[in-house]
Amino acid sequence: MGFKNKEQASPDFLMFLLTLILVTVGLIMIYSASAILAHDRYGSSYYFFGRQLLWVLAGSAAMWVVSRADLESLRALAIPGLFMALFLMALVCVPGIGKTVGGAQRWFRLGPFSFQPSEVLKIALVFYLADSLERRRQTLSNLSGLFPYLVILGICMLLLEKQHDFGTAVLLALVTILLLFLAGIQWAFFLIPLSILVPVFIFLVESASYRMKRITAFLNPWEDPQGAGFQLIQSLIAVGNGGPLGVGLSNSSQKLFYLPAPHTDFIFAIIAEELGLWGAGTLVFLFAIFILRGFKVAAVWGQREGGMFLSLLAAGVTGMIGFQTLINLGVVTGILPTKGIPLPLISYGGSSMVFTLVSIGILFNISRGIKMPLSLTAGDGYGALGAS
Amino acid sequence: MSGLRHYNQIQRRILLLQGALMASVLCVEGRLVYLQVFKHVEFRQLAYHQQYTPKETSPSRGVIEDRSGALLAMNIGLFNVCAHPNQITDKASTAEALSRALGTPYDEVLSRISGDKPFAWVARQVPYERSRAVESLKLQGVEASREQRRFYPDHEMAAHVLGFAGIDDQGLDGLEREYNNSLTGKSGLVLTERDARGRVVLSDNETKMAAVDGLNVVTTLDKTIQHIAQVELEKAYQKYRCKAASIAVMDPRTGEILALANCPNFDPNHFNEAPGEYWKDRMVNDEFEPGSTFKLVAAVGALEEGAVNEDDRFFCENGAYHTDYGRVVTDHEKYGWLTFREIFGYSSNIGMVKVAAKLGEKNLYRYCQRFGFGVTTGVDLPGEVSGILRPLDKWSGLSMTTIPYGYEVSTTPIQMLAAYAAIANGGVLMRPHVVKELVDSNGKVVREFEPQKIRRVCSPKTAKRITEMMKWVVEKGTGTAVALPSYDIAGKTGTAYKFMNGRYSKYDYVSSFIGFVPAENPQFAIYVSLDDPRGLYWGGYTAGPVFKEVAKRALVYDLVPGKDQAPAVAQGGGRHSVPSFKGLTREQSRWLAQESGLRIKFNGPGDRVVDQSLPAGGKLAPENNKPIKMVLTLGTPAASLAQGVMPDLRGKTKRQALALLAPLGVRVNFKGEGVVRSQFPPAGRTVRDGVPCDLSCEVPVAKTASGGGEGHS
Repeated sequence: MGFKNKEQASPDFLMFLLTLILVTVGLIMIYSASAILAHDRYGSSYYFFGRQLLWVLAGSAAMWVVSRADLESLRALAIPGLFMALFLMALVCVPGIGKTVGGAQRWFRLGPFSFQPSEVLKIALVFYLADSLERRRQTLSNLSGLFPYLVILGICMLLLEKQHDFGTAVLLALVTILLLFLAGIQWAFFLIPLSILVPVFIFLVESASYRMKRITAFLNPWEDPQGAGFQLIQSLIAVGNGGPLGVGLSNSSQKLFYLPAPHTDFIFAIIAEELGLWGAGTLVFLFAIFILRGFKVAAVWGQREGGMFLSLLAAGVTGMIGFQTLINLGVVTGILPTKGIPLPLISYGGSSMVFTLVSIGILFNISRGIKMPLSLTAGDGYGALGAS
Repeated sequence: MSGLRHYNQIQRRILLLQGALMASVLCVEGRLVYLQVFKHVEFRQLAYHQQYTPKETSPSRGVIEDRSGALLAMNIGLFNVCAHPNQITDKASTAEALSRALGTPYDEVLSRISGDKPFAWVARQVPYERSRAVESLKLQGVEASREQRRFYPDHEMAAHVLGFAGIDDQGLDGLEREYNNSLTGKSGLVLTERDARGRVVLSDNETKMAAVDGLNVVTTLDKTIQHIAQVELEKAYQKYRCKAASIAVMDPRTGEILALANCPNFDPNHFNEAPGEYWKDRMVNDEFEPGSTFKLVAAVGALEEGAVNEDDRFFCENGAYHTDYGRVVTDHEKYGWLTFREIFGYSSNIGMVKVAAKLGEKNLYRYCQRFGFGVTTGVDLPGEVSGILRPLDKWSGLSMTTIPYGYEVSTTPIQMLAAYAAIANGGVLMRPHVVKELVDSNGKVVREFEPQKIRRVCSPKTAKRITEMMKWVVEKGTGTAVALPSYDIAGKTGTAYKFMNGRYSKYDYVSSFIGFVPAENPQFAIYVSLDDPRGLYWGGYTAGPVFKEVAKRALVYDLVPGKDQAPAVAQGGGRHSVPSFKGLTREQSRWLAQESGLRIKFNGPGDRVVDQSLPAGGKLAPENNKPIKMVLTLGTPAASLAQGVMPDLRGKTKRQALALLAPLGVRVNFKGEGVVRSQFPPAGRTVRDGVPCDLSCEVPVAKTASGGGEGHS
């Protein structure tokens, strides 16, 4: 606390650069993937691109604000913030208030824009966990110490189940486990969340037939090529069609209504088709570097006295972005069953863009003033705080 | 202390996380390599298959032309309007627009385009204007398409030669069937990129293969002679209320069929409406006992073998000849002593049996074989039958009393025609054929059918002698009704009893006349037969006049000089001089060359003939069977060079007109067939190169032969 020149120090340059590259690539690819769809649906090929640009600008402003905030003093808001987010999550399920898109009621409508409270929940939960785990780290050696977190996670998942948002539920579970793990719980304790999560997982899968379908479709999409496997097949065709060098920017043919959601959840398939292994592979590595760097920031704070809150916060935010990225890439390439998870910084979607940028703003904030060599792993080159 | 341990633990655990992250990332990268490198080809094909819909493009079926390029079978475009209802978003307004453009009730259109089908017909076979109107609306999910249908512009004209093609353009009969493979062409493949909704993506269509149009079949038929033959046959068919009738005209020197017709006839445009037996080409698909016209075989054999001379006399038993086997041969009239010439001329069966006895059965059989009886002629028409000639060892004792006058053998009309044509051709039997060449859509000759010699049947001398006997038939014998004042005709009548229900009918006859004209320099060999004519039945009086009319009109049309007329000379007259090709287009040159019996080759670029390898007006050896070859040099004639005065072309044939106009370099457009009726520009006007010149022609009303000759000499 109270690093004097923190405000003056600039955020980690590598992360800033990667963010800039990824957002730019995202905008270009959204235009490429959605121009025809936008023209077909709205009469303007710039429809999605223009809106996304606005969200990027708004998100950047939010990012700037967050990157300069005093995070330690915001810790007081961790618990109210979580309850606020849960309240919004409950509110969106109320008929007439939430907006339904594609059979899932997860949006608030604000004028011409819609917004997803689950994005707020992601940040609120991470913030709450970082704060709470740091304060209660002594109790974590007892099983009872884990109990509140499991309860909160359970509530989150129930609300997400209401919104048919299975992807985010998995995501929050993963991040919770990640932070518990980093906070130092015993290995053996992992059996507890697992023993709860596995039945919950099975319940969630069996309670909604479309989930079961998605899962079997992933195992053999060609069993039902016109039905459940359709999206995955079209995604794989796009990726495979791209080949080593790609069909060229804007030349994707899979975006011609073959691949559903070409500019949102499956934008990576279009990237792989147009830019090929060369472009898609590079993009995956850029994400990997970004995530490694985020964890590096967490590691630097983690070794410092009193830095555990920021360390957990950085790790939580990084983990949130990292898991989303991996799940999205896994879905698009057919490694994981289909889930509605956008690719952070790339996919079209206002809430996702703004809150990802806010998350990155948090990372910038935490990384401010750390002098890190351009290393990525936690172990080597112990970074020093700006004061030195 | 615990803090330090704790921090180390975080660090260790973060390192572990980072390792797991890298492993996952490598998984994703590995998966990308697998999909994009190892499975690339497979997925590219999958993408290709779903995005490119192959569409067959159908080639145009080749047309069928007569020897001068007049269309006998062609294609006409029909227009269809189809819809893809699943692509139509606003059904009501689409239906309304379509209904207005097509004149179809709104409700009907709406019901057709409703639903979510990928394809539906909106209207089929609509006029071009309607389909254009639909196209100009540019409605989403509506297409106007074109299909072709076979059309026979002259309806019944040469129906039995042309045959017909079915709905899907498959040749079912006649040339359409015989040359179906050549006419059909190869369909092409156009790959159209479509989006998932089936709409065509506005990128360049990837054409994989262009359709190759079918070859055009250029027949040996002459539309004018075909017309003449058909009209005259029809007249006789009506007049004598025949069961059936057949006619064919052949160029005896080449075996080219110039005309072929049968009655009853049918319109190939509506072949389904005619009974199936009407489709039968009796000239090649029918076999029957020929009767007296078959006497030619024994007569030729007897002369060639020196067994009998024209003036040898035979006793004709006063009409009833009791042969060794108890069979009585009868004649239609009672004859006493007749010379061989008279036996042939009066068509005495008894006399012919006695002549054949002198020839001997071995020789008779040999001449039957030489003339090609018992085997097909190989004419390029479908379903030819061979007739029946029993092998010698199967002949009975009665055979020598029946075969000489055409019983106990069955022949096809085309075999009989070929046999008589062989005599006209100096004893050489030619293979009859209907197709001259196959030409591709660019006008390039792909295959040419040369006249084919089958074999020599007899010496030129014998042919000459038998020709004289055949002339006597017309001058003094059974065929006097056939005689023409200015042309000598050589021919033979036939009246054959039909073998019905196990015995020869006394009432059913096939009357026929076969011969060639002019006897000295045969241009046409003609076969006419009438099945069961009522009233007069003798071949000489029923089939004969048909022969006469056809011969007369064909000779006039072809400007064959009569007996007392000077042979045709230069300036485009006659078949025996080189015409001038100067200034003609390729097409016109081909036509003129065909008419003149010349084989031409083009040389050099350009579209007009500027030079020819043989000088115009030069003589062509008249007996030469082989076409003379010449090279035409093409170029672009200097614009102002050709200039001259329009001649009076009225009454001239097309060929004459072309020859006269050639030096002027005008572009000649013919309308109609026959001789020139009217012309534009009128005679006397100064014209220059490139000026279009319209000539309307008409088939001349049959004049007397001498009248036709006069116009020419």
